[in-house]
Amino acid sequence: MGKAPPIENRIRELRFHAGEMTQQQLAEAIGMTRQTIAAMEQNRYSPSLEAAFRIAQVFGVEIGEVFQWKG
Amino acid sequence: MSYREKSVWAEVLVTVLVWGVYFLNLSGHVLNGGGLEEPGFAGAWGGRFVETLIAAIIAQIILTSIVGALTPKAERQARDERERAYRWRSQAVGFHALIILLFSLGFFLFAAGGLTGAMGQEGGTPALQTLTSNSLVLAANGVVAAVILAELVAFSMELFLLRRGR
Repeated sequence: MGKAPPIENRIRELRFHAGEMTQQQLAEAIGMTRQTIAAMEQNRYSPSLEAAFRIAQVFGVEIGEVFQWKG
Repeated sequence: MSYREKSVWAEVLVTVLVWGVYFLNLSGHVLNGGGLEEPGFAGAWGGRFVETLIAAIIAQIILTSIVGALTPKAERQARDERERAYRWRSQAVGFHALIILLFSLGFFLFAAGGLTGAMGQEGGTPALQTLTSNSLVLAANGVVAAVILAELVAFSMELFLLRRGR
């Protein structure tokens, strides 16, 4: 349904570098479901700005290191 | 499958099974000519409606409890923005479906009433006489059916978005 949003992310890679954090662990850290993390990693869902900041905070990086605009 | 998705499947199951049986019985009864001129039609189907409503509430409580028991607490408590957004989007679609269904029902009742009046009650067909004598009961059931169908449209949309949507 619809085109993929023109935003890419490095969540999977950042999880790997964060001690192979699981999708479930990241989901619990930001108060979301594992399915939503999976949807983000597959570029099927673009999170809100607040959720994007929360994800960056979990990995201890700037938001631009997690999400990149590809429009 | 997330807690929300399981919950929606439970709602679909209850709606289809419980209300499906009720409306199948009602439509079968009316289409087979039963209740066309029955004096106790309203009371009988009013009673069955209340029974169905209670059954739907009990079934929903049981299924929600089962879904809750099968889902970890952390997942149940997650307030997921994606699921919330899909829920709102689905309810908007369901609302549009409701408008269309109610408009169609209104048109049907208006046309049936007009036809009945034009033909006269004595000269009307049995189906039209049913609409005349039990019109309020049938109209009320039509409204309930429209609401339930709109809910099913919303549930279907939400399940589609949760499984495949963006």
